[in-house]
Amino acid sequence: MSKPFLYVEKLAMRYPDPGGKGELVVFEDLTFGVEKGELVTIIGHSGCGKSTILGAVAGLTRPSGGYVFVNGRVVEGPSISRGVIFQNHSLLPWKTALGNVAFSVRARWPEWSREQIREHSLRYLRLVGLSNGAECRRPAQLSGGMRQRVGIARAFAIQPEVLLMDEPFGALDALTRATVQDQLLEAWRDSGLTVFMITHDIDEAIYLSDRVLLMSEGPNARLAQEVRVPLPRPRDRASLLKDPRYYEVRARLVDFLHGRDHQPIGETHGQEADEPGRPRGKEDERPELGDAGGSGGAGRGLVGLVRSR
Amino acid sequence: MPATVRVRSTVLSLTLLGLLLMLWHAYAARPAAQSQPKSEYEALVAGADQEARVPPPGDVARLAARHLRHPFYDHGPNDKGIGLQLLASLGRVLTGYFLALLVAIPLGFVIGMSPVMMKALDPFIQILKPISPLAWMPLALFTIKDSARSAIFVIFVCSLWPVLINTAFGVAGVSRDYLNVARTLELTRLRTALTVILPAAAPTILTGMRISIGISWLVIVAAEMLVGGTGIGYYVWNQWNNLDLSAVIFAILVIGLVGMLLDAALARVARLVTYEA
Repeated sequence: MSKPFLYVEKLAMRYPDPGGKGELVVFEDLTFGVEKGELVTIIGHSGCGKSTILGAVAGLTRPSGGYVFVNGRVVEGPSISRGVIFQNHSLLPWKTALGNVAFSVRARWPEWSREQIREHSLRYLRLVGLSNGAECRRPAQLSGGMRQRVGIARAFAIQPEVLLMDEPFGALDALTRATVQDQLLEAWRDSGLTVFMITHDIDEAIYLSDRVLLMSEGPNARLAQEVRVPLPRPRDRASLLKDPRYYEVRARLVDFLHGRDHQPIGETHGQEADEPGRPRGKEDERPELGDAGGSGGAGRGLVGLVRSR
Repeated sequence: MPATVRVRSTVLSLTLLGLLLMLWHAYAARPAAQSQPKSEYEALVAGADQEARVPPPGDVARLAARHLRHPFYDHGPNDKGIGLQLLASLGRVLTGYFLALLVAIPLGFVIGMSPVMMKALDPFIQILKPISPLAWMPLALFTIKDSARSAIFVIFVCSLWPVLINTAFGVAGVSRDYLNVARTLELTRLRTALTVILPAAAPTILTGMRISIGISWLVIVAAEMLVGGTGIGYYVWNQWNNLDLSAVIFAILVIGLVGMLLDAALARVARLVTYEA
């Protein structure tokens, strides 16, 4: 079968060991795919190299090993066809909200007229609820949530093939986060965009994703599990909380992340895979990954992959 | 509250000014008029004081009023209006300064963007920077063979370093986030430099430019004392030779005023490019 739209193959990141001999493996042998139009989240503890994975997919970071394919082409550097929403909004502080979006739009379609760029940018700002003067303010004069919404508008406005998000809501308070998440989903719904996102928030991952990838703790992090979120879209928070499937997925994620919390950090990386009671290693899981990205899921139970121990 | 602060500070400033003027006046006051009739000799030298004194503020004010009424008169090489002298100095300062910007900003960009260049050029900058710009004067006079251009060269040299160093630091310190934005948009290097790095580093560059214009204005006075001919520095030295201390004090005040205006102008430009991160 053909590769998924976004396909990461045996991705690895290693640094020379500060001690001098050997090397520090942040993660390695990472293989997964994201189908066209799918929203996939990767979740894991800090230090497992999540941001590095995203950087590699964006083409901003060169991995030590492995490849990233988007639409069949190997990623060799940053591309305007891959939109990135950064953790800390990364808006240009000397430009207004509109200026920031227009800056990207102009880079995407240099031949467009000034008016065309303005119209297009305003449309995407309206999409995330920024109008009535907010678009004329600079980032410093906007609230954290508004800034991140400008970031979303900027990413969607260039109509990328893939949207990459690095903990986009990490800096927001809970209420703002919910609003911005909804705006993201609304913008995404009609776009058919392939989204790959990093988070450390379980509820966020469930609410947004079609699938959640779980990383084991770093160093030497692996892709430990993959959980399909079987909740129908459009989702709404209130009814989600009454859905038993939500709790089933949530329990699985909490179990995974929490279980890991009690593992002493930095002990016996070498034997990780053999330890009982740990999430299973990558090796057992990989055969399923190829089609896990697809429409599969039938017969897998509500939560997709069943964890085997 | 801010209003009262403003009122109080203004009152205090004016009080201090009054106090200073009074002290000056008291210090400069001539000794009491001699009561006995003047000798023939004293009459000949127009009753000159035996002791030279700094002119009182009143004298300086009268001279200032006279000069400011006709700032642009030209009665030959040694008698020109203060306006003409200032224009000559400003012309040199601005010429040297803009030439320095033309060199320092692009070079600062190169140094800031390339760690290799930064390291390679650092020793040169460190050695050249602490040299008093006036030390270049003999070399400039010898090679350029023109005193006015030598003065411009001296201004060029002294304006160069602050702008160069600040540009390099500003460019090197541009947030990785902004550069990543530029990279994901596939901007060319030139476009990145002009549309991302330049505005991001502009406040730092402007700080360098502001330091430079200040130093230039300091240095031009000394340079013109050396090269002579025209300019506010030459004017000060010429009036000293004429023993016209009122004119010297007037010139000092004018130098201060113009320096302040230059700084204020740069501060205004800096405000245009400043952003809140």
